Amino acid sequence: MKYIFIAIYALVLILLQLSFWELITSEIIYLEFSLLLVIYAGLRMTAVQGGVLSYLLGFFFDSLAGGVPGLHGLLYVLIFSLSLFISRATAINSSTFVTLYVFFCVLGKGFLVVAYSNLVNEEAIWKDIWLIFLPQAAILALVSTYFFRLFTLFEGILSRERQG
Amino acid sequence: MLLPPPKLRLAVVAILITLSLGVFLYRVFRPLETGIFTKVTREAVLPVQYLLRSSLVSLVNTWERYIFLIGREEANQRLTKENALLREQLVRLMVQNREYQLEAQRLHRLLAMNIPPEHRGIIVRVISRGPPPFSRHIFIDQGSERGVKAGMPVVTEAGLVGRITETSPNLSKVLLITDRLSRVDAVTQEGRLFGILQGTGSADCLLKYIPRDQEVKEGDLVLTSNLSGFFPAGLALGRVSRVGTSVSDMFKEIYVRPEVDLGRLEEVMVLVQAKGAKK
Repeated sequence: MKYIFIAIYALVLILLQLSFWELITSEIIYLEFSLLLVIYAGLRMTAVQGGVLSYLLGFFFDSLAGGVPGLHGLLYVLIFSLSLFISRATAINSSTFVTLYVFFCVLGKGFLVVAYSNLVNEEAIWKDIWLIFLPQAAILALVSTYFFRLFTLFEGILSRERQG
Repeated sequence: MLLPPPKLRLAVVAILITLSLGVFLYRVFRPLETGIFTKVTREAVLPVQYLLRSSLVSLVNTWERYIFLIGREEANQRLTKENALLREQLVRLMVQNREYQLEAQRLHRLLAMNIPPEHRGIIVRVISRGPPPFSRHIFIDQGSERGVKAGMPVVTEAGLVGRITETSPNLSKVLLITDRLSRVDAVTQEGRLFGILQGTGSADCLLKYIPRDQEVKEGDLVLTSNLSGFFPAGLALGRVSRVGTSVSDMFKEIYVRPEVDLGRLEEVMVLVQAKGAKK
């Protein structure tokens, strides 16, 4: 049952993210809040729940955003895995760590996307890292601690509902 | 849990990476094929996506309209103020325009009047009035600098207004014919009866020294006579408004209403005797 909640949770987040992006931040900057949730899942959630959530987020993103099929599923799983392995570190609750970690994850993900695009399309779009992913990484890093609190709150609500 | 947490994590990660990598590679080699799960997801989500999008669109539109309305409200307030200001200016200009028109008409009438021979006229503006009932006089905006001197007649196209009694460089006082101190040699136009028009301090003047046996009718025009040393002959003074009989046995009591509306003077003309003219 809880995995259905996780699936719905992931789906709603992707839908909201895509809709808001289209209507509000369209053509200016794309803020990938789902990536924050993937990092949160790696750092704070259990391996199975977090892993399922991350993959579903990637899958829904690929399905609904219409990008490279399977790419986000793979990237989200990789980022989740990395987060999961470093979640043992003592500083993971520090907001500075979260901020920096989110910044480098977003930038790293951007690097991988651009690398894949270069590989497939043979296009030199490295400048996109600076134009798109750097501002995105900076903004997401700055808001990450607030979103982590929101995710914790939401996770708590979902846990209580499941228990109830 | 069957596996301890570190091993579980490893297992989960291994499974997920294998799965996602497998899906990714599968899709890389078959890019045109849409997976069944993707199709199901898209179909299932479509109504929700549509609903969410339309809700968000209406929300954004409402917000933009609200912002637009705030902008309109500000613009409306600004335009209303501007409109009020422009209306005020328009009314002021219309009033001013009308004033200029009327002034032009008055000046035209003044300029068109027959100035008595051997005189020239100086058109002046009335700037204030003496407070009745103590005094009936006006102040004009020209004085000795323009040649205005005491004793000079002041007229309008309708007739005599009074005479200059005091001057300063740029201001003169005019004693109106209705003032109690005013005396003007007068003659009735029809009967050629000579008398003296004296101010009474009220609206009418008194024509004195007209014998009882002479016939004077209401409405008869009274003019300045050629006996006057101050005023040119033939200037209209007023019309007989009432003829009484009770004051004296010898003379009639004749009231004359000035031809000039002395309460509404705005521009008048000072008659200056031309140089070389005999007095």
